[in-house]
Amino acid sequence: MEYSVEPYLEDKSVWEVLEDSLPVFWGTEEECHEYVNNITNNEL
Amino acid sequence: MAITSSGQIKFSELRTELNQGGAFSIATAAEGGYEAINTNSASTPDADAPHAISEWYGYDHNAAPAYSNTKFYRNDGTGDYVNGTTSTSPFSISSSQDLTVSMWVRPQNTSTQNHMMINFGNTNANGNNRMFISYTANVNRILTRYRSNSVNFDVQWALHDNSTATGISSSTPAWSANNRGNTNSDGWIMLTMTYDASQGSGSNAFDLYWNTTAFTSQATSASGTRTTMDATKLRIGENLHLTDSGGNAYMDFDEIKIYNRVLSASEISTLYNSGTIADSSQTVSSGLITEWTFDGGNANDSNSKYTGSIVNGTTVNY
Repeated sequence: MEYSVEPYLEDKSVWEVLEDSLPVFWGTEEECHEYVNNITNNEL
Repeated sequence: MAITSSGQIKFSELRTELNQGGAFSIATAAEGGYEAINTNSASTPDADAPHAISEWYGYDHNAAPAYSNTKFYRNDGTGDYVNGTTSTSPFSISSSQDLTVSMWVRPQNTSTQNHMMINFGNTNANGNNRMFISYTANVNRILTRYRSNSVNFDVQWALHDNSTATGISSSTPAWSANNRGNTNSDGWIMLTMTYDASQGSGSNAFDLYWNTTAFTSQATSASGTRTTMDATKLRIGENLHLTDSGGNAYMDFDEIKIYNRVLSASEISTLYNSGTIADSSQTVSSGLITEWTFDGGNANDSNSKYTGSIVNGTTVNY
């Protein structure tokens, strides 16, 4: 899986995690990066 | 045009119907002597003598065969998709073009699975410019999204928050072959997304119907800036720009229709046609841009708007 963190709302008040380009998680930018880190660390 | 179903029938009407000039015998006509009787017509003359002109009531020499839905498309979740491409966009994705996308789907996954059901846009290079309908399993939501220049205009619909429509009352287990929710007798669901382009917010622009029932609860929505784009690329079952992603749909598809207007709830109910997977040309055809029936065992669309191909997936006989 490939993950990216991008703004969900245009004003960047909510971000989202894209998993293979499909949205799977929403939160602050920091929360989204933490979500990705947790997944990728668990996959290691 | 069919012969009248009551009152006077003129020989000239029969001649016209059967493309026959000059002398005319109803016996010869009834026995197929001029042209073979079209058995697609709901009413046909009796071939047995004596021949009465009343046998021709309601005959339609040009009647089309009744629609028979023979195949559906199966995307098995691993590298399958239907690809469509065209140099002339059959419609635009914009803040002025209304759209409806309707399709019959049947999840086949037995474990948790995201599904990219359908997306169309202007590039296969990335996923930043497209309109799509997808399902995200970990939140049990269907997304209806217009994404342009990586800016989102969308609504997210939790299946469990719309249990009246879906028949699914909990976020777990996710949508699957074991938890399809409200379906017809063969396990199919008709999903219909309408997009009212004139609305300034995603919340007001999108509606989603499960069979004939509109979703009423939105989990969240976005109303970002919309940039007009063509719909020269289309993909069913996979992201426009990927070939074997985590969102490769494990799902059956049939009768996928794109309209250039917002269908009403009444029309969607007609389209649903009491649970039978129906061809839209028999039910709601106004504004139909094109559709995929898969009955030819291929990815051709009815109005030849796209050059279609099936990549790894299969068409399956009913």
